[in-house]
Amino acid sequence: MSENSDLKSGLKEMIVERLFLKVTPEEIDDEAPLMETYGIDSVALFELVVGLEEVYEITLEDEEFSLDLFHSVNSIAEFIERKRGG
Amino acid sequence: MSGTPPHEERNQRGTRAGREQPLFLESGGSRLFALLHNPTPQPPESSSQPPKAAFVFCPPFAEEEKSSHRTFVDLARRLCDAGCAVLLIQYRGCGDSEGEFDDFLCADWREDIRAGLNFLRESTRAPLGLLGLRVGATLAAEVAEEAPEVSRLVLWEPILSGKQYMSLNLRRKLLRKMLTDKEGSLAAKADETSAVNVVSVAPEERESGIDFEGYWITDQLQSEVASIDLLAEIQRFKGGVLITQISSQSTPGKAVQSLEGRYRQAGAQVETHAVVEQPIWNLMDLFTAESLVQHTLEWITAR
Repeated sequence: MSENSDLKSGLKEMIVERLFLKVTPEEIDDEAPLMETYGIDSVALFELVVGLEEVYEITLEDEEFSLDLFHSVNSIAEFIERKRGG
Repeated sequence: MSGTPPHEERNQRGTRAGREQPLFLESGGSRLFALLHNPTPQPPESSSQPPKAAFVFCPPFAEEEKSSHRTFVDLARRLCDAGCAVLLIQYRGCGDSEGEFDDFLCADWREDIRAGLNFLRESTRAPLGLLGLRVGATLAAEVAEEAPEVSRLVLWEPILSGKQYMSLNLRRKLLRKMLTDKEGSLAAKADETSAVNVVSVAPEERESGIDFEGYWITDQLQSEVASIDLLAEIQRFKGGVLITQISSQSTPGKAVQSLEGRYRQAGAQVETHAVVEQPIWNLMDLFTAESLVQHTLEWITAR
């Protein structure tokens, strides 16, 4: 499994765990629009941000906040890799 | 919401009717609304059998109080069923208590908690305790430092750093605005709605501050909350402490462990618990925090 695949798998686990979703991580498609598919509201989005910072040890600056960032697992993974300088 | 089946809930109403007493206390010259859950049918002071314990419940801050209210009520009723008295207060400026939210500061709300403690001390002969959530937990911990009559302390997800708390609230506000803008078919641009801008935009008709979901946080309250450093404040409490982390994680995080260490240093008998529950202070939907309520109930009644 590539590093990118590991990252996405870990992200899916975190999303399911932190947002108390009733699906398995494997059921989340890399490109699925998270907000529409899982009804993510501001509370869930906030939990996601806190989770990203805690688990991946990155800091989201105010100017980096955008809904596009949280569109899908792919977009979040790309953001993490960018923050890590990958 | 309650863990009790509906038919049993109905059967219990008759017995609860005499045990739940709304009242107003005096705090700082204003009327403070509270609901007393009294396990005995008579007023506590006239009962030959005092409650096993008497707790003041300290709600969280602003909108979080609304979301978590039902969990407080659920635990209060179950504690009352188990023979404990509970006084669920509404801080001045909140709920049915007198005053406007932005007229008060944390110091006033600590005074409200002390008013609740005084009431329970005078009306029961039970060991006294405090239970709080988020900022309510922090206020409870601060009051307990100065109140030797408090022997039990339950802290649900206490705020350790007021600065971080304010920062996270601003982020949540930003996220909410982004989602609202999206729903309104407006482009949500982070650079237009940054937390910095949120702080600087103040309605002209009010004194400077921040709007947190309809609650006006004055500059003075902001700086008071931001100055909270609970780890530094814990020095004296020697009673029993239950620190409960409420999150998706089943093991206590660093913050909870740090607080546990501080209480141990102070000489308290401290227990930490990580309960896997949704953030009850943020939820708008009806939600049963069963494992949180049950564990807390067991901890309190075991003492």
